[in-house]
Amino acid sequence: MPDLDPVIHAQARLRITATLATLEVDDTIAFPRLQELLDMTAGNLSTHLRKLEEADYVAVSKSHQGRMPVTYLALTKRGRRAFEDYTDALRDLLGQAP
Amino acid sequence: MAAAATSAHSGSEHSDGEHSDGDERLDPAAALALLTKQQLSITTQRGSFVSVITAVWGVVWLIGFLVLWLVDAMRPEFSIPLPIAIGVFAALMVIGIGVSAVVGVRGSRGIKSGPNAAFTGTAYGLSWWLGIIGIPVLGGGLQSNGMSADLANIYYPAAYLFFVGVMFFAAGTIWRAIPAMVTGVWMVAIAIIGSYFGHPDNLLFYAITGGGGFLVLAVWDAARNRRIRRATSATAASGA
Repeated sequence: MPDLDPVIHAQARLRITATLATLEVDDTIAFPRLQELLDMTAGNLSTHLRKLEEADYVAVSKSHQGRMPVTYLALTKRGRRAFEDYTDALRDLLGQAP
Repeated sequence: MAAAATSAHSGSEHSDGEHSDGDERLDPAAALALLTKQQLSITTQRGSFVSVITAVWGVVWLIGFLVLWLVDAMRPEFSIPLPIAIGVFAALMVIGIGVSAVVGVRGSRGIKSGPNAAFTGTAYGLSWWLGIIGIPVLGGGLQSNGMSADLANIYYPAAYLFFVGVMFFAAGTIWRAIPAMVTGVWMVAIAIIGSYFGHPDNLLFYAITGGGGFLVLAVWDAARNRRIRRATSATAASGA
């Protein structure tokens, strides 16, 4: 029985990772837009993003929009692979063909 | 390492449901359902502006082609002067393009494209000019070789609709949007079929099947978005 990656296998982080996985490989998303799409509080989102960043699943880049600093986020190559492996493991557990 | 952490946690897998910080664990079936719903919710939210653009183009074509049709269709009782009809059609096109650009930019706000996606987007945007410039130049060539004004009345709308249909289809294949591909095929089909009606009935046909078709599509798309949003909002609330 395959084990489920504990970094992804928690409700909030699963939602975040699944959302970031819908972006094209080179695209990044601004923190406020991600927050809006997920309908999460900024604090809760930050906490879970930090855990994903610590696991090297999410890359954070800073940019400026006029004078406002904006944080952009994306899955790293490692994060994308981990999400695919996680999805495969889930399907495996449920007896579905990947 | 990850495996060890999972087994360490597995004892408390279902016992910490009272935490509402989103750190609670899920059983595999619930996790897969959540994942699927979440991705559907995101693609729906990100694509919700498309139905607005579709509706705007529905109105533009419905009114635009009807106005062009009224130049010749009701003669001699009634006729809209050609320069006015063309002016209205052009103004509607400008409004359509303007609204599409504003709504499209708003829909993709907060997303920064990487170099590959940026190249694709720019190349696709530029390819529109092939038709916008190519169709009238080709028409000029045909007219200078004897194509009559009557035939030109059939050629121009058919050629533009055909081209826009192919471009919609291309957009659908690039961004994996099946509705855009279906719309593209629909437009190519009506462009061809309409040309068999002859002038000016081809314009009435385009107003109904093009403009009307787009309006139906917009309503269907908006209803589908609303249904998905309602179905996925429960997930969002419980995960936040």
